[in-house]
Amino acid sequence: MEEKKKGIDWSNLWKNEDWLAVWIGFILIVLVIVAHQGKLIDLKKVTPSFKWATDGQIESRIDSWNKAIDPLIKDAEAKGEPGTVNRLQALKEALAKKDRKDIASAAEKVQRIGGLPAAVATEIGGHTKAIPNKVFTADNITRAVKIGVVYLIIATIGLKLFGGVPLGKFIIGFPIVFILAWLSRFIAGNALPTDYGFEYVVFALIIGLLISNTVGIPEWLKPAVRTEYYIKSGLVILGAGILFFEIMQGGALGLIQGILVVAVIWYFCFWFATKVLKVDDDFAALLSSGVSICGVSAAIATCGAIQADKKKLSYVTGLVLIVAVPMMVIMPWIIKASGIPEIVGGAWIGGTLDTSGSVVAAGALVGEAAMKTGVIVKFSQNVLIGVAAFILSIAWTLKACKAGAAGAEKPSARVIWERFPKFVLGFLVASAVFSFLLHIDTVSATKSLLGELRTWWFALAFMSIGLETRFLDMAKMEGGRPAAAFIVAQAVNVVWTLILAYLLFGGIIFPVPDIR
Amino acid sequence: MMRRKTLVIALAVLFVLSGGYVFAQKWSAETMKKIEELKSMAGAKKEMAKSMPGVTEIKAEELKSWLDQGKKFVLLDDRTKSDYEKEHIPGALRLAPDDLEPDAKAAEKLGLKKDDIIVNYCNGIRCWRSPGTIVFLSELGYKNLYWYREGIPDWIKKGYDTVEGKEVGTWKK
Repeated sequence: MEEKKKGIDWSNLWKNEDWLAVWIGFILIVLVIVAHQGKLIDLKKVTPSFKWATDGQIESRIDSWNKAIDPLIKDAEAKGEPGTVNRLQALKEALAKKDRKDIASAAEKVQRIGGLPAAVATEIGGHTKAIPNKVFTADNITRAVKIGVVYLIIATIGLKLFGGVPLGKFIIGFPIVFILAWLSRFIAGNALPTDYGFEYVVFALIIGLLISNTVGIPEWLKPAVRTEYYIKSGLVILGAGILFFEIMQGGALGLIQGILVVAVIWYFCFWFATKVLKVDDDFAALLSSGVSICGVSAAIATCGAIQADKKKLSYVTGLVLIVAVPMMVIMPWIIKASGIPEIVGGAWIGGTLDTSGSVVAAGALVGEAAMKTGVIVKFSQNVLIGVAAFILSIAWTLKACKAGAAGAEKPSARVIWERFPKFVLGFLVASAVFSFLLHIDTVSATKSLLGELRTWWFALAFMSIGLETRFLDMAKMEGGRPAAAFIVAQAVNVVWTLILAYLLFGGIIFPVPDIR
Repeated sequence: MMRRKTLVIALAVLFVLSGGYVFAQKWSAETMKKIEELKSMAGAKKEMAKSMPGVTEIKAEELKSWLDQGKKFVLLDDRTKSDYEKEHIPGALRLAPDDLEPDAKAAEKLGLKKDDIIVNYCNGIRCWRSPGTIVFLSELGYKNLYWYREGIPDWIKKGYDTVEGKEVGTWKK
């Protein structure tokens, strides 16, 4: 009775999309953990592969690969490592013969040496092993189908509880959206977009936009186009990948740099975008997270936390990925040309570049220490996604409450709670469980599968964004101002991070860290 | 009433049994603590300690000369089966901490004697498996433990011989 008087409506726990996303995320996470602990399935055999490179693409890369190997051979000769020299030379011979199988096996032998040769060999081996036909093997297709079926079942149950959705149409429409998401991942899996860090989200968006703006989407497909539902489910799973102990990897220095970069650049970008370029608050917050924490995940998490328009998210995501391309090429060149110390260069790259993949690629162009430092700094910074999502969700809830209260009345705790995006709690719980409760073996064994599951939700979400967006709406997106804000903020970020990297990793305030 | 009583008793029995299961560990708490530490260091990609108390360090050159001389000792590859089958040092037997943790007899089954000279290696300075095996073996009372800390990546860099596949292989001078 007491509860009824207070009016707590427990049906919110399943009638609210946020809560549903939390349960869906948790169910998938628990399934993965149970499967791992009980050794029910081989987790490595669940994720389909999307990587492929044509023979022509391999051949066109052979020259640049040789150029990457030559300095490694010189280096190994100088260090007196005959074994390394032999294996690298064997790899060069295999490259000269252009036989993909030979190249892959020679590359694998180099991988076992570790360090920079291994990084280069991983890149070569990854591309050569990715024969296009492998994507279409029955096993690989079945893996994707299985994930699709599990998602369909879980999503349908969720919507049944939610109510008000024509389930029949959803069940027919979902496979279509899923297949389109598959297609976007297939395109992104090619060597060319991989090299430039163009992720599946961009292709999902483009495919979706093309379909909705040419042939249009039929009425029966619409119930399966559910951006919010997919994105929130993915975000709860993303929480499991935000590990607080990773921030310790870079030690105190990585942490200090991470906080100083994110806090300063976030506020600068937000201030510049809102005050100078008059971009709206939501848009500015997305831009700020994209620039400062660097990354698509950060932008997606922010978008969920502040419940922003998904069109703005797609705009920012595109920006993040496009701006990263010239940076990936130019930054290593600047580091080498101006003689910036390797570790400082690595911290610079890690603090400014977008995806972990592009940090590794750009870092490897500079050297081994740069690559390692870059990855460490990047990881420390990624953890701040959780902190940012939490703070932003509270700030925006308070803001919305104030605006809604219209005047003197202070928003009550209940109103704040009602407006708070609940899935953020799921995200934080997942992060806390994976950071502090689970055994490290479980965390590392389940990491890649959870990443895969998250990726599917995001692919579905971005496909949905594309499918429900008109080109006309895109044109109305405040013109070039958000892009201008982003580019200015990114430029400031590049300079600021370089200064910090010098101060922290250059031996000026602290001794140079021992990263080899 | 009766039913509730039985239920309480059943729960109590279950509780005691589960406690018994948890405490009936094969390894001392101290050993398991060390193992957990090593695993979490590896998880955070940290370098292992430079040395271990009571364990002799051995470098690639010395290990190679032992093999060349045909010295009597056991060479242990402490890595996973798939790593071992990809490539290992000729003559190395395989014993990973992953095998020892559930089965303390695994060392004995492999034919290790307490006074054998045992050289351990794995995937280099960030690999927890060779220090892990050493931690387990020392609780079992093995005394002559050696650690080739730099492990197989260093061995390969030096250009020394390795073999591929399941076969243990023999060292050729």
